[in-house]
Amino acid sequence: MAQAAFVGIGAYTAALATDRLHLDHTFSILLGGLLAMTVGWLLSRPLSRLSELYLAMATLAFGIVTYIVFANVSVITGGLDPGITISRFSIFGYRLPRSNDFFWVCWGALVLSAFIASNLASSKTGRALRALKMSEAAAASVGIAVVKEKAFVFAMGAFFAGLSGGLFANVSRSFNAASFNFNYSIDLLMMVIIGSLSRVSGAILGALIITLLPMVLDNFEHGKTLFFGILIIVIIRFAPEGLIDTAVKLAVRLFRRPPSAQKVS
Amino acid sequence: MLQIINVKKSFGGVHALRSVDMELIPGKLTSVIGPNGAGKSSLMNVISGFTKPTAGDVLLDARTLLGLPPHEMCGLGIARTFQNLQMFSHMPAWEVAASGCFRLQSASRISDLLGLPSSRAEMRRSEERAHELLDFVAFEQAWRERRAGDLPYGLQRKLEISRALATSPKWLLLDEPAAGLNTAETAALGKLLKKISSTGVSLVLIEHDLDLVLEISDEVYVMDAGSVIARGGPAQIREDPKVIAAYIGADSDE
Repeated sequence: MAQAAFVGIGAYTAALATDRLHLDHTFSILLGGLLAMTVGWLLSRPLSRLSELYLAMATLAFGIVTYIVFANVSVITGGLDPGITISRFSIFGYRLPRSNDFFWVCWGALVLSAFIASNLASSKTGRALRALKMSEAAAASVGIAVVKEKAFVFAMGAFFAGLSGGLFANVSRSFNAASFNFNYSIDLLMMVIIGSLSRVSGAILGALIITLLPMVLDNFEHGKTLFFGILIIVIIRFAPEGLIDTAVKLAVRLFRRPPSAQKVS
Repeated sequence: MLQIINVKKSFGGVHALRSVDMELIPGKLTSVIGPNGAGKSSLMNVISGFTKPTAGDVLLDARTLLGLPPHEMCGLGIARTFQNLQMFSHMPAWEVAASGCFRLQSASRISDLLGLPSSRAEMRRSEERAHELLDFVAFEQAWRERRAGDLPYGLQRKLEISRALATSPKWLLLDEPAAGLNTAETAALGKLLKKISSTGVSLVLIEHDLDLVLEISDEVYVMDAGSVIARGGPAQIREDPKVIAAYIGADSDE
């Protein structure tokens, strides 16, 4: 629930590091990721004692507090007005030929992140995380250091959020604190709920839907929010594990019919 | 040797353990029996680091285990199972067993994140080892791809033992493994525990089922109301008048 805060940390770090410290754009984006990761790691320590609802509340509170800081420390962040700007992206001094070419940098980052995230999920760390979600006692009994693993994955999540913040800063070139408010955290949460809670591909699909759908619905000014709300309720009701998992299940059911079903048809 | 020295545990005013002393001998199958509320599970949780005793000490080869978090017990070669099944229920059965290999997988985080060959080989190895252990406990092939949470109770018990064995323990603590099993399953469990014991693993069996305990144990401790009331070989325990009065006698009244 605090992902918007980490995206914000990444975005402001990238903007400030390039325009005030005159660091390289690429390096600044990485720096934003690392700073978000550090904050995430520090935050995970006290949070590791909380579970479920309390954890959600605490991260939510952190998100709101961070937003207030972004909005009010306008000397550094530019607050809500005038916001902050960042110079045009360049890789180690080499400026991309067209400003739209930054698109490819973002895709590169997506591919790299998806690669790392799917490796993580299929590694022993991924297995450890799935294990401790189901039983912390049993996870500890096979040598999984519960607090350490939680801190690691929280920090990783914060790192990628920070990285995306840096990319966002370079795409928009000008932004203000409103970009990192509570609604944005909800959007991020919706992306994984709609796509899949357990698959990397689900997060990507969810991001596409949540980003593109409002654009498609732009013509129906007033119906937009309503339609969006209904869609999400339908998905949560009929595909509670996310669209991808439901699609996989459907495919399995279609192509691998049980013998009894074949007899009937 | 695993020594329990003068261990006391009280919850508020309730004395779960009143000065318990035990000397558990490596390579043996030692059982702790007693009626409900005798303090067996409290003792188990103290040994495995899940609860801190009010007083006393637990020594493994003359080194104290007190204050160590549960996940470090595993590194010292102590594995355990749980009275109330603690299953990784969404995993396929084989992966539950494979998850016991966690401590033995030493590839770095970076290698894991980049999916380097060393990490992949390790994951494959954990899967192979899981299947070896599932073969060892005679866990049927047909069930291995099933979600662990969907398995019959007896199989989940077996799976829990496989997971504990995957950590390559020197000591295996079993908290009422026969609870909820039928007669045939209990007999099979007895054979399995004997087989595990014969591989050199030291077993500590906390159990309710007296027949099972007397059949397979090398040594038996009998607890009642938080104290050890008898210690000895199965034949000795069977004859002990205190045991008959406190445990067997009470049992046959039912």
